Amino acid sequence: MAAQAADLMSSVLRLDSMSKRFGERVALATVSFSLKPGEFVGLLGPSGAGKSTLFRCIAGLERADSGAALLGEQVVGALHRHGSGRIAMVFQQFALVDRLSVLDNVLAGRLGTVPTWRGMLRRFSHEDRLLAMQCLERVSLLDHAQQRADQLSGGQKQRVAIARALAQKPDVILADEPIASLDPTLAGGILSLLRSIAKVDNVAVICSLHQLNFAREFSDRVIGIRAGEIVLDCDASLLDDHAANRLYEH
Amino acid sequence: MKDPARSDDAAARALAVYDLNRNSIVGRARLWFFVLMALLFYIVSWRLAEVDLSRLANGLPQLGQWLVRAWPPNFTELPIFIQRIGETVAMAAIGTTAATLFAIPLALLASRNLTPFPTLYLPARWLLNALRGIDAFVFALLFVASVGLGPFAGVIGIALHTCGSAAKLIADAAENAKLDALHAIETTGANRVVSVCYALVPDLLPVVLSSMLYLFEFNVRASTVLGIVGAGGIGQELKNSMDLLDFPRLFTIIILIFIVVTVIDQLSGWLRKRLT
Repeated sequence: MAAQAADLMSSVLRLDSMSKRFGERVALATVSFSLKPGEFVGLLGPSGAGKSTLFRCIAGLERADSGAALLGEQVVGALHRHGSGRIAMVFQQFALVDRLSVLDNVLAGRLGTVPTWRGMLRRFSHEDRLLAMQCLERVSLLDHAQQRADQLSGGQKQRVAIARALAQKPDVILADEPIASLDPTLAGGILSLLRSIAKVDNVAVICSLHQLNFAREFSDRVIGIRAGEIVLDCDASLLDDHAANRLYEH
Repeated sequence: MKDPARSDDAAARALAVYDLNRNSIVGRARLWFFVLMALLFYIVSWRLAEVDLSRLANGLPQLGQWLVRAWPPNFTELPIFIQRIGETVAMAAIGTTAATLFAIPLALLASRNLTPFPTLYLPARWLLNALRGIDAFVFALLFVASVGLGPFAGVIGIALHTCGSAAKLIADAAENAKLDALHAIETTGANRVVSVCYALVPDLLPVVLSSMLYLFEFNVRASTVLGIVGAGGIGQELKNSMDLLDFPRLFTIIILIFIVVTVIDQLSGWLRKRLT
């Protein structure tokens, strides 16, 4: 019990029986777990299991029917309105503003903290712009800061999206199938980048994946979700083929 | 980035380069050049269009007086109005349908990926542009002179102008159609005609019908004024009332046009939604 209490104290994000339905279909059935700072969690599960819905509910893009995501003591939905941006999201299709420069895309990560007029005119302070450049340096794209986002390759675009997430100075990064549009080499690069961010910046990263080998290689812990329910939550080293089969079998 | 103090020179240098390039003298000069050109363009346009707000201010009270005198609307001539509106809708319907029928072969010629005669691609596009470029109103003016007063001249005018628009809409859709399915069906040994019928027609048919409905809506609105050049329909009554300064009659006609146009827009919008 004592260990559990300590666990609770050290968690950065806690999901408390979150559920969501779309009409008759149950997308999430009372999902609970917590994430520790610096932890890289692989989220596994068949297509349609509710992985994206889970992320969208945590990020506040979708309103959960019941339950809540808590950052410390604060409910995330309320946080989202105040625009603190402590939860950052990375998408499968990168979700960059194509016609803006790479630097301006990264600066979008600061929008939650700057006055409206700055955001509308894209006039950021020197500190924010320097921070954005440093984020680009972290993802090795310093030389591309001036380019328009749509001129980059897929792998580069995803790294810009990660830099944008970094610029939020988040406590949690939600990565929704960030490598599904990339070839295996680029995919490995993106995952090791996310993992290094988790370790260096002490950010909790939860990343949905379809490749078991990547999940084993990069995650500390894996969570398996099926038909909106958590059916697996264990150390990544314990993810054997038997457990995987149970997760994906029809 | 928990530690912004870890700022290093590379990022700062890159930011300086970024700002230098963004704020270069050439770039600024070019921006100001475009701003000045745009300003000049609007000043000249303002002059040419003889925009005179004081004239509007003086004219508005008179318009208000007319409005007051237009009340109440006068429905004694309703049967004639309904017949005339019927003419207008019929002109639009026949014109649009004829236009779409002629547009299909033209669209085939004018889509780069489907045309059987690539040399005719550009001439076909020019023809479509010419048809679209001349308004139904202008065509109707010409045909009133050659086939005489009445809705038939309006039908021809609408058909010619709409044919260009419809063929362009269909051809653009055909050029953007995904050809994977077509190629896949050709590999089964089907000939070209069968393949197109099988793979492209199901994709394009809703586009054809939807653009036909859209153009019909547009033409009902456009053909309300064709009567002004003598090409039949409610426009003729509109012009008569204006000439006689019979405001209640004018007002009644405008109300009726508004009702019919709204009903047709809603109906056609509903149908188009069901098509896609």
